[in-house]
Amino acid sequence: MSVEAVPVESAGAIGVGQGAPNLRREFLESLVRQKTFIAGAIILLFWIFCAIAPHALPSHSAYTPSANINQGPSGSHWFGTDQLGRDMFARVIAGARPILIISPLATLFGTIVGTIVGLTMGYFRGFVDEVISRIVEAFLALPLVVVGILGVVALGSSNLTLIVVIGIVFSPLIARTVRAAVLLERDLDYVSAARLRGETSAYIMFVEILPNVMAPIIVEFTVRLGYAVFTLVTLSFLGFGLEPPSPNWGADIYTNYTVVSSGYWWEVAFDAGAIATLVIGVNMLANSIERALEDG
Amino acid sequence: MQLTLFILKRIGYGIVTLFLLSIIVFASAQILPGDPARAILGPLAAPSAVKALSQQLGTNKPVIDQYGTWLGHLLHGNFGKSYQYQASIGPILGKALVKSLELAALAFVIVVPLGIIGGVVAALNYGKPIDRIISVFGLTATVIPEVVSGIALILIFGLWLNILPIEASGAHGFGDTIYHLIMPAIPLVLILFGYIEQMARAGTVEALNSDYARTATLKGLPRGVMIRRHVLRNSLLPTITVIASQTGYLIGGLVLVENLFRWNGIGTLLLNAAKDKDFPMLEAGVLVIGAVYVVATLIADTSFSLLNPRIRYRGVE
Repeated sequence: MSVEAVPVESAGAIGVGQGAPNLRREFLESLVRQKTFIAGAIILLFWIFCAIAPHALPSHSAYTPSANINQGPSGSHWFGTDQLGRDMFARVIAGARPILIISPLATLFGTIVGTIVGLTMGYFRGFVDEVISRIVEAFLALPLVVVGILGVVALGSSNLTLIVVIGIVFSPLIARTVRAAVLLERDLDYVSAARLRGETSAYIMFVEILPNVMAPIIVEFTVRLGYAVFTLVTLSFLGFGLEPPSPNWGADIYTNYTVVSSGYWWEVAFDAGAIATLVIGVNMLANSIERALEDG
Repeated sequence: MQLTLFILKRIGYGIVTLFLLSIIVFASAQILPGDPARAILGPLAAPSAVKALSQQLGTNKPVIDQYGTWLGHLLHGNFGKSYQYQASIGPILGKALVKSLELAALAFVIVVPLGIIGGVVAALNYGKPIDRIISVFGLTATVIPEVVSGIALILIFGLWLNILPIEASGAHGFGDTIYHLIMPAIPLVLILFGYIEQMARAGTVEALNSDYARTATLKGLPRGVMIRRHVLRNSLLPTITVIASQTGYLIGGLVLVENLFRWNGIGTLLLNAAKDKDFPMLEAGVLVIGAVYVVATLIADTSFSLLNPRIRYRGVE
């Protein structure tokens, strides 16, 4: 730990910097080689396309009621119509938009908060770590859905509430992962070197350590994205998500499943299918990214 | 000695967790706009009546005082009075908890053996198609929301095959209750199966590759005996922890499943309390859920260390 050690360390850091593009290419190559990644990407791209350009697909209005109520799937209404005579195909396609806006934003918010908290816990250890750990544990004692309901009751139902609540629920989980990764890094030479150079704690945490714990953070983000969709759909079904009449898979299932016993299966089946494909697609991506990072 | 210390420490942590949870729960009920007395009496009530009820409920006192009173009552087992039912919360909550327990127990009874068998079979066929099929199925089942699997079950078994009831409520007697609860239990089973199967598989693979398994094989022990005596004992340890740690998830799943299949457990109770802004009920329900989770985690940690001599003797951390 002499002064001479410092230039050696920075030289090492430069070396890593030069190697990074190569690593990135290897990572991308390993991703593209995986069938799960391709399949997941195609599914996600389809839903993103629906979210961006719902009118590109031939369909009726998702909002306008008509006299053709509870019609089964047919040539003119591919997925049938609902209790108000609205076209189910249009509603399923239009339902992609709210979920694909809110889930990534909520996940991003949770990842940012979780990363900051995790870095702080892992870097400072001791008292700070102990205190935050207890708070994190208190949050983890409640199921996601319950915290979600509590949050929406307390803050009122809006898109922003959903983003904040889901994000906050995720942050302790992400913090835990980041903390574990930081604990492995904090005693390495490049961190000691930075400390000897007299860098501030914030600089060491965000400029030195953060780039080295990005891999688990990326994995955590994609995994959480799947759970965000899961949570959002569940909350919507329970009546704590987005308000009708905007098309929304979870809420549509809630309004329509009361008439399932009358045989109108199409009013819930396609929404359920849409949720299933999106969740599976996101998880395929998450799994393949995790595997590619392990390879690299 | 060390084990006692470990358990005491865990109990201490559990109490701290519950205390923090009580603050979080109480605080989130305070953020809410609106006057509880006004909410109970409705918009047409006279201001004097609202004021009198506020006095009676104690909602006009400072927040810290309210928290103190609330916590004091809780510690004496007094959960307060529900706005919505105009009755003591304790008995209502207890009844709902029993209902939820019935559903959760059925799910566990199905999923635990299934998950362990699945994981062990996958591990014994490591890398073969059976392993791939079980693992992919497990992973997929874990990520599908209960709404989706529930709807699929309702359509297939309730509507098309018409062999299982769509609504769980209205069951009478033991056999009938199980018959009504099979369909609600399956979405929970599907989600938990993946976790338990993955854990059992990983544990078994690790144990199969261990030195003692190799020694057992080399000394000529039949494969069945080797697996039963040496592999399974070690591989199932982490699985136990996973099972207990899924209690938290399970309660979250109950909220959805009970609502979907109309079963009056704690999930339904909580949801209705949230919808009707019945705060005493909501607070009590959430705290009870937290307590159940803390106790389950405690049992998981303790049983894990009791079952694992290495941890038992060395102390845990």
